[in-house]
Amino acid sequence: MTRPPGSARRLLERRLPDSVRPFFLADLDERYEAYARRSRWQADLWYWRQAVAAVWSPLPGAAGVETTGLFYDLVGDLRGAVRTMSRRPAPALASIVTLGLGLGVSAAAFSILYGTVLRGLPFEEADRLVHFERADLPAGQSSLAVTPHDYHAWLEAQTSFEDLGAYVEAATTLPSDGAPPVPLSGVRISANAFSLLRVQPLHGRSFTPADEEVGAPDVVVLSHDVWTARFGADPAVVGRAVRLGEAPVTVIGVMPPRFGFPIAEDFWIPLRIDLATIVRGQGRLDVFGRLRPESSLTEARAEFDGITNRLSAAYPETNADITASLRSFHDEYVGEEFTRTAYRMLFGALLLLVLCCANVANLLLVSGSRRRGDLVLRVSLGATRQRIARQLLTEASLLAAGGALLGTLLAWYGVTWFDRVGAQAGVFALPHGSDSLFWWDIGLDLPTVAFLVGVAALAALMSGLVPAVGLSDAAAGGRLRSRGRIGRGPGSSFASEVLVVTQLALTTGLLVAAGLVVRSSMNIESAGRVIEADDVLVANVALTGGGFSDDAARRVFTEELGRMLSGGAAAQRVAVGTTLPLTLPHSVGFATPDAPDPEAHPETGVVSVSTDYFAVFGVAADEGRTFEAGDRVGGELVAVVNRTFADRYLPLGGAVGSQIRLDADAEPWLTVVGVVPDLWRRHLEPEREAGVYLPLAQLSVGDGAVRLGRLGLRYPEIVVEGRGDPAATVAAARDAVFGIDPTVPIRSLRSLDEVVAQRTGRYRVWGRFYLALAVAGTLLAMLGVYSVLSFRVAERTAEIGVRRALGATTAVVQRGVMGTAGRQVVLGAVLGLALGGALAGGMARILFGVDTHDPVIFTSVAGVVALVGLTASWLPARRAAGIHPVEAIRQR
Amino acid sequence: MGKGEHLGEFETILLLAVAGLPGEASGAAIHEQILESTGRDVSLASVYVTLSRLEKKGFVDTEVDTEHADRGGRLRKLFSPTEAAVRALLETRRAHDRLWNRIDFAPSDAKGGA
Repeated sequence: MTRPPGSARRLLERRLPDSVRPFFLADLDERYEAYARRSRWQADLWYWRQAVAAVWSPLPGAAGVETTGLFYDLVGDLRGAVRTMSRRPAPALASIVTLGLGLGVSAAAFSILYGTVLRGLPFEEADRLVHFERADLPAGQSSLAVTPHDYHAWLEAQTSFEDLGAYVEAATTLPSDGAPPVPLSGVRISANAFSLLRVQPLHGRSFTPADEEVGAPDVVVLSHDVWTARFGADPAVVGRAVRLGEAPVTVIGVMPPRFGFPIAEDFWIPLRIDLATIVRGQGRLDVFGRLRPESSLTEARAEFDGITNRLSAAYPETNADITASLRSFHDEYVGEEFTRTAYRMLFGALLLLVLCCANVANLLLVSGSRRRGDLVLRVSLGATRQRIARQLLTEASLLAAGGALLGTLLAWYGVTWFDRVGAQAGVFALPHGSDSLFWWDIGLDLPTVAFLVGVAALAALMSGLVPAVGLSDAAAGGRLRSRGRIGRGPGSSFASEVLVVTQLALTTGLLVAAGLVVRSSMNIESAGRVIEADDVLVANVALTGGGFSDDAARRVFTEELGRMLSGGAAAQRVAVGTTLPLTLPHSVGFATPDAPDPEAHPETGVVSVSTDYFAVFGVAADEGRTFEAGDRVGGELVAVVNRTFADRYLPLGGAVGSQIRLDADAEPWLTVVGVVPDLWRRHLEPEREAGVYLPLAQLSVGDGAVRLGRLGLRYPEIVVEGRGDPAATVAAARDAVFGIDPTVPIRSLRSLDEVVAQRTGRYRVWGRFYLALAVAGTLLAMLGVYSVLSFRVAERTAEIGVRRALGATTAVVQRGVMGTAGRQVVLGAVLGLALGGALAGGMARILFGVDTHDPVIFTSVAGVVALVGLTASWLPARRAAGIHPVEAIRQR
Repeated sequence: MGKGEHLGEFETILLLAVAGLPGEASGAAIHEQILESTGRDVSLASVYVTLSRLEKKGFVDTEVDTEHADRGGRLRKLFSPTEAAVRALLETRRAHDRLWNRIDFAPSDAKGGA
């Protein structure tokens, strides 16, 4: 006897109802044997076909009892759903594309949030890592570096932490044969750091306490990236001496891939502190620690309050009012601003998804109404209301599954785009001035896929529930007697209108958001136009090496660089400043003769610049003059202020010649010699900023802290105006820096256009993001209004025909249709403007000089929504007016 | 004839097959009969589903036959038409005949213009 395919047989044995199984299998075997006598493989194929058909059929029990196991229902529902969709593929495709859009954008936003904020540091119990700063709250300073003396006092006194570690930024260069040296960024770090983080080197060893001794041999641990890119991933490099900056050091280890603590470092060298040579109150360190399992951050803060109180009492001249500020390491480096931005992006995306679901719900409702006949028939054949509702939900689930597939593709594209554009364009200003952090990893990983699946299920529910309830209600109401012309039940009609109003409201909200960012982009454009300079190069160098003991030495370097470059073959002019336009400068308190108390008004920004600074940026003085060669040590002490400073604090029309005094009482009075346009903006705050410029040439040793800010001239911005050949300018700048001091790393070398684009990038990227959301939302809402109205006109053809026959004019009919649309639009717009107001409040920090209650924006959005409603209802209204009584009667 | 007694096309074919296999109408035999007479390789599941519906409508009776030699003693269910089924089949045939009798074309016409 020939045996049928085993797996098909087993499938049947499992799936067939008990009462049918023995007979069915016997009959099937008998027929199979007959087929198998002719061709074995055809018989196998036949058997499989029969098995599949049997599993998918609502096979009865022998007693005639309908089997209603969940599986059979599900299979039947799926079959029904596939059949319905293949009969009318257009609405199904439209729904899949719509859901795919919403799901894709949401998944991409989640992936970004997860990869940057939620994933966290890749260390064991990373949430116990804490970052320390000092604060002088009475002086308004909440973010001060830790001094070496305080660090050591803390180390000895504290008990809440397993240990404390410290690091300080250390830029250097790696010589490369014949070419300018490669800039590297790294940190000097305490020897215990790697064991505190619980990370082991991939090759070699980490630091030991002996490496921290002053005078010990110089050693370095390399990052995986540098080891791969510069040393060909050769394990033998461990133990070898390499040149780093000016001195040879021995490589003792290589860290594993994706390790770049604290930000994205290339190398680590031992932190050597000789307290005997450091004046108390001087020096700066970043400190971190690992909380003991039994202590909490709150307890640790209390302990450190005690420690700093004792230090204040012991050293009042350096530590008065100084407290310690403890934050989770992760939060310190990711920052609230970025976290908020990432969540806001996800919120915007989910809003779009809700919009998409509303649209699909409407589409299902409208196309479902067309098959009300089928549904009513099924109800009269005994299907329960729940059964019908489940069938419709199954359809929605199938659409959501299709949408999820498409969404995965879109999300992948979005994430790739973000990696390429977002991170590099400075979309997110991270607290420590970095564009990215070493543990960031954005991709379509498991959590993102899980999120996508969850949201897709939710989307199926959101888009399927309203039609399921609405249609099953109407079908169960049994309108079989409505003569084949299926009237809309009150349930689905109301549901549909609620959906349209929801759509319009969400769209209005998104349009308000988009309006605000578009306005913000326009403001940025005009702010950028203050600087009109082509062919300007900006170099940022790190003057932190051993050759630069103070700011005077650093100024000598910049002056030397200026002499070498300006007037040469490649550069017309060279200027130096502590910050660039569009960047937030160091700020200090100040006094004027009219307002002598620095506490009485906000601080002002201060930038120290060389003589040609304004000329290079093409900026001329509004009043008075800019700096001249005569503004030197020994001459009259001068300052230039910006427009905002002059308007706010100096006599109207008498700014030039006024006196101002910066910061402490010990500072001399300065004479204002000119007023220039506003050149900088704070990143996050749209208000105009007051600013004062000081000539670098009048800087004398000792007053650097006031004139140059906390970082002094460590990282000066060198601005070079070229002669029309950017490549030559770049080469000349590199050669000049290399020529003066080959160990000075060039941290960046970019055109001014690139710098401006980067500074304004975040606004532009956000502008595009919200604009895209709003455009998609508007199209969806238009489609929603259109489909509901056209359906309504189609179903009321007979009624309209009768009215026409009774003498209703075209205008009356059109008014009827448009009136319905009008009510929905007004309600949607009112709700949406309220939503927009709420959104605007939360967006203030990514907007640039925009009033979040700008009446112009709100009015124009209302206008756009009205226009959308009218456009979408125009075609259906025209169709209604064109209905001929005879046609209507024929339809009846 | 009431609405519930109306026979669909597949139901008619099934009932005719059952009636043509007195004492032998198992699912397999019915399936084979339909294949031979109409050339349609329907699924055995649809045969079962339809037979169950016909049983509910009172058109077929079933009995379980455990003794049949050909089947190696395996269980099989045999179907037979009820009185009502015979009446319904005859009524269907008469209706068909009446309709056919009104038509006056030679068999060749049916081929569509030979």
